[in-house]
Amino acid sequence: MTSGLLRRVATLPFMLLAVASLIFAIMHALPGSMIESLSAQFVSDAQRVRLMAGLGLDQPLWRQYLVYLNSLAHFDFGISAQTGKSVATMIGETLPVTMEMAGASFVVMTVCGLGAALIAVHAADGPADVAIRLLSIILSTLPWFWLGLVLIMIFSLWLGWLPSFGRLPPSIDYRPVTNFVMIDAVILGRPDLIGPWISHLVLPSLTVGLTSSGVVMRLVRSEILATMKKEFVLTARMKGIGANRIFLRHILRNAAVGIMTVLGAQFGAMLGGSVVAEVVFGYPGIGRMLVRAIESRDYLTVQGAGIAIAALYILVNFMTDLACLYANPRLRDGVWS
Amino acid sequence: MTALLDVRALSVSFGPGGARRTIVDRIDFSIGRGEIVALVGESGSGKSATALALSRLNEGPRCGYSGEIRLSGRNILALDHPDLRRLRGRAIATIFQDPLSALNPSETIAQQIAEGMRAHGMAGPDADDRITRLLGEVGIHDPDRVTRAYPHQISGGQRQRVMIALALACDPELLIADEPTTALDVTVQTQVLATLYRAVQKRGMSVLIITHDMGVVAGMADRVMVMYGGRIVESAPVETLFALPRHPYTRALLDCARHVRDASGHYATIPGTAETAFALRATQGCAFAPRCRRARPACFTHQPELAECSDTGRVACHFPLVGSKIDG
Repeated sequence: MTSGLLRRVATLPFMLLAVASLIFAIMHALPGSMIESLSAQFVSDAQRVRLMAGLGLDQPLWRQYLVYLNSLAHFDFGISAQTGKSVATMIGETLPVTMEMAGASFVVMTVCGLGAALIAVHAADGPADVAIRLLSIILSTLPWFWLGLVLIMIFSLWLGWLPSFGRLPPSIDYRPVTNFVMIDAVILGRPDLIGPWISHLVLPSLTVGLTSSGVVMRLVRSEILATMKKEFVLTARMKGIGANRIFLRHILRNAAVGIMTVLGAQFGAMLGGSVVAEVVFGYPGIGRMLVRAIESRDYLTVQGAGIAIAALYILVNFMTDLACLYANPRLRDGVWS
Repeated sequence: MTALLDVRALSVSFGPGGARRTIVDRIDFSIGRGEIVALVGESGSGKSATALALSRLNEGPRCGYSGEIRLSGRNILALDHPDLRRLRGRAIATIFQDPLSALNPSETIAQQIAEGMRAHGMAGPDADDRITRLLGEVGIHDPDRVTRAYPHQISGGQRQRVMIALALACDPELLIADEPTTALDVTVQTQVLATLYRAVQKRGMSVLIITHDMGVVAGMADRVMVMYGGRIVESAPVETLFALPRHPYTRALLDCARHVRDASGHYATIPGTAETAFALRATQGCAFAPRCRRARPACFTHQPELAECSDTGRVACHFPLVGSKIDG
């Protein structure tokens, strides 16, 4: 267990370095430059040279790269050209919001995906199974923004049950401490925050969670069906074990690695979806910040947001791997089969 | 010898609704208490389907049975599911061919053996000790390590020994061993077989051993049943069958196993494959007729029944061999 764990942990810095380097390369390959986005047309050439020298942009590329890595190591992402705030602060404000939404979407995806897959397995090849297979295809082909708009129409406009914009109503006085509403509600002793927070969370997380659950349904269903055909299930029946116990201890237990891998991979897709969903629902997360920064060519914010999202993705993958290590003793011994 | 297991007109059919094929066709046999019976035949002859059917392990939407399987007088095919569950592992246990796929990769050896014991209320406070002793008995030298190990952490031979221990754990009356040594190295095969033989002898257990290895038959069994095309074509005590095979198919199998050469120096083979047997099913004749050098017209039109051919043997052939010297 420990050796597999250590090996996995040791890859983390390299992955972060690779992501940071890739983002650096992309930012420099993009047309236009930070100077152009910062300065208006009426800046003189002399001023422009001074500005570049001030920002270190006159240095050779390798030197800029080293300076960049050094500041990343100190969590210094620079100052946003648009807001004048430190990008690190902006990430600190928006990343927890996205994590909340991704977390809620993950719950929706897991509950719907696993639930439907279990029903499908139970009724294999029956009408319920066929219906769920069809549903999974529909859900995985639905565009996120389309489902988001339909949900807003139904639940906000027609029924008026749920809010469709923002994270908390403006009427509520919320001064964030950790930026996680759930944690702040406990720290500040403000249970009144939780109700509105959840009601604002429902539509965006349903949008992202449901569309991601289609793939989960299909893959988990086939993973379980494949595990049911394994010979150790026959051994369990031969021993005289009851059907429920066989399903939990032998089938689900061994399908778990495949299921967790699917869930982890879908979480990555979900992060992409939350960028769109945050824009549709005016949710003040890092995705919306990223889109705004791109629109206003706010280089350092784009760069910082990209790194933060990638780091979150790496973290989730790492946790998925840990869960797989826990579930599968063969992986612990480094047997990858 | 009173029969422990009595099988009457057992048929097993397999496949989706419209395309059902009968893969075991009205077979009769019995196994006495303490008797070791070998069931031999080629791949596709229906021997594994028969083995699984005895505790209804291949039952499902794609597989059905007819006939009777009586264990100590109780018809297994008529049991409800709770009773069937109590029977499995406790009255009939099976050793599967490939222990790597037959053991749960995510649980330790001790967990897997104990699970069966618990299911039959046989775990008790001394379960761990009993598991360790059992593993020692089946020839595992470091049982303390193996109980804590996962299947991938032990060798193939050890895994099959574990599988044997798992099947013995609840002292079943009938042990079915479905090609128990096929997945093992030749050197390990003999040792594992000897272990199995000692363990069942000590317990006086009845055994049905499925194999296509005549060496296994000779080393272990009291009686042999030869299966071909879903039917039992010959049944006799081991010595009789080896000395005086009555069915041309049995004779051909033995010739293959003994590496008999014909006049031109080629090893004996049986022309065709067992698939031919199913192709013929529609025509009512003997399933082996298309591959049989002794076949006559009647063989293609009338199916021979399994009938007494001596005090101890039965054969299903219109023209059985009468002496081992006779050549087809």
